[in-house]
Amino acid sequence: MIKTRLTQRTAFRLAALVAVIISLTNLVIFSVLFFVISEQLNENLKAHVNEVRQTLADVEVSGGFEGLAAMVNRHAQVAQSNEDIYLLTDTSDRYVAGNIKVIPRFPGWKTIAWNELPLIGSWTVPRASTAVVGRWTPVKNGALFVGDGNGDINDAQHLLLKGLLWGIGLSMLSAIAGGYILGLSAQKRIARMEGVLGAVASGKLEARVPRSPSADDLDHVAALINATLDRLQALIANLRQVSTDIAHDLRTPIARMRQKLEVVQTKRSDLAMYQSAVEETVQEIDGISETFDALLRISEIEAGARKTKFVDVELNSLLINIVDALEAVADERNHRLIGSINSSPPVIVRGDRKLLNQLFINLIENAIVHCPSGTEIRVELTDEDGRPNVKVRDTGAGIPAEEREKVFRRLYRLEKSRSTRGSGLGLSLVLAIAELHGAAVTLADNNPGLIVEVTFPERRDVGSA
Amino acid sequence: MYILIIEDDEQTARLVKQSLVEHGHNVEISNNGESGLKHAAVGGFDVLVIDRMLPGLDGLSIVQRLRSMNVTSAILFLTAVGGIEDRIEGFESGADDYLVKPFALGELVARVTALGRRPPSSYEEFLFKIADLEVNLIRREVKRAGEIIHLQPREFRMLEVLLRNRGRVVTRTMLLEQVWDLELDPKTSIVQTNVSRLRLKIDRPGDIPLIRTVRGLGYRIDDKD
Repeated sequence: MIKTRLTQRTAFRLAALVAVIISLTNLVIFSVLFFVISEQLNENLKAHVNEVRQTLADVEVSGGFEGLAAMVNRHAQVAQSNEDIYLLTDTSDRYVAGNIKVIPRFPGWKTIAWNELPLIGSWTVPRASTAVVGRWTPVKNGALFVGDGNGDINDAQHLLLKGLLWGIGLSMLSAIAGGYILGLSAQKRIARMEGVLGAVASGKLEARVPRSPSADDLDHVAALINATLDRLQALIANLRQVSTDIAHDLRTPIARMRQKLEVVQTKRSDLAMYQSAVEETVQEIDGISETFDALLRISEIEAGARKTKFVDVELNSLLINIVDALEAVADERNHRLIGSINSSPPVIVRGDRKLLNQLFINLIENAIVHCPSGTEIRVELTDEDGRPNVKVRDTGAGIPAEEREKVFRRLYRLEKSRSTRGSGLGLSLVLAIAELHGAAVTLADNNPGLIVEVTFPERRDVGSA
Repeated sequence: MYILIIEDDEQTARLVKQSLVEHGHNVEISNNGESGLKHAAVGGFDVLVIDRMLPGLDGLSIVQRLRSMNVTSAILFLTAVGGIEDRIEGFESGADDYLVKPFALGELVARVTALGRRPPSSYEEFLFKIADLEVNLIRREVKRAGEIIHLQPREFRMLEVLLRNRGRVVTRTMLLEQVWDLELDPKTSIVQTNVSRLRLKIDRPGDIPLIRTVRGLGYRIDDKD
């Protein structure tokens, strides 16, 4: 496991980012709230002041200036508890009634700090209250000032601020904690992937990342890693197989060749012996080269790189051409090679023409070479439900059911065919080519004889061609 | 013909040169990419035989550069790099033929000869007369001693390929490529059997045998040995 600093972990960084975003969101929400609530409280305060002004103005109408003065004084007596300020002056701005001394007149609303107010008597102003909001109202014989302390507003604002701080603090804490926990679990899963890749790097090719049931993105990555490892393992197995095959199948003829040459070299040989030795050697070398080519070609095909060069290949003419080429050969061995292939409608597969040629030549040549003289070999092309299908039927000896799987193995040869020429790679090559084309190869009984069937996958673009 | 071999393996180069000289060609050898390219670019050779893996400049680059310099010499790749992909790459770079090591010297000579004698595409011979065999490729008519011979389309195509290379060896793989468009190594004697059938129709008992077997290599159509 690779150790990383906490701040370098993706999960932690994400958590921190989330925390910052949550805090910012909180800040915005609280700011809006703060503004709206403050505004509302201010409005309330002014409404309260206006109400008092209205009431007092009414008193003047019904009870005259003296009545108003009396009412103001009455109000002023109980004003301390609710931070209300009253001042009534006469026409020459002299004090008439109220709980403050005369202050200058001004138009509209004004906020005046407590310490700027000439308070009458001893006041205990609530701590939260910092100022008084009020305004002058002209009355018949003077002017009336009514104000109200902002203690409630400040209280509410303090409360909001406290809420904001707590909110941000708590949400950050929970975001970081949550992120950390999530990060730890992701970190653990990533560590498992690291462990698996490390194991593979050190040669344990079968190691795989455990899958989680959550099917999240990490699990998706795990699936991809596993698929890559599967492919890697298959490729390496393929490579090993090729080296084993080469060692096995090439050493034998090389050894044979060496012995032959040694014999003519050490014995007293005449020209004819030398000539025959040379001829046999050239044949052996051709055989070795052929096997070598076939092995390399199989591994090249199995590596799958050729798929990118696939084109539309018409099977009708391809098979007709092959049957045409092999007819004479079959004839020579008293076989009857029959092509049941209509030239239309065209049966088209996505593929590689050269490899498909190789596939079908191998299949038909197999039948020609391994069947006893006088066999009928039939090549059929059908297109059932858009799945191109090629059958090579013979009426020869067939392959026992229990051997059918094995014939596809590299270098495998049926006991009875050991004596005939061939590398034992023909069907492996057939299988490799078929698999590259997504086609299935099946062997079945023709009673008597063998049916080799190659079924291509359904074409997707039938109509567009 | 003037032929240049660009090949770093001295022995291969020497053997190839020897067999080409035996067939009456003038042959030069370059043993590395750089000098090979210079040589090929100014030499006016008919055919270039180029190895793919060379010290200095590799064969593929040489061919690409020569083609971009409008050098029209026919080019044959001679190489141990024989994968299907490599082959395609070789042709795409501008080579005309490709022969994978190990190869038969006869095959190489036959292919080089065929490359060098390709007629200009504007004019192709279509009337052939060898001894008493007369062939008109356009009317697809074959006569032996004045008598019309009926050939299957493939048989006619085989005869055509042999005639176009009259007097020169056409190898089995060349026939397989040119008649059936098959680039593979068959396990059965496809070419031999089909040529035998053609021969039965062309060379009847008593006639001078025209389709001659070149042992271990291929066929040649000629009335002279």
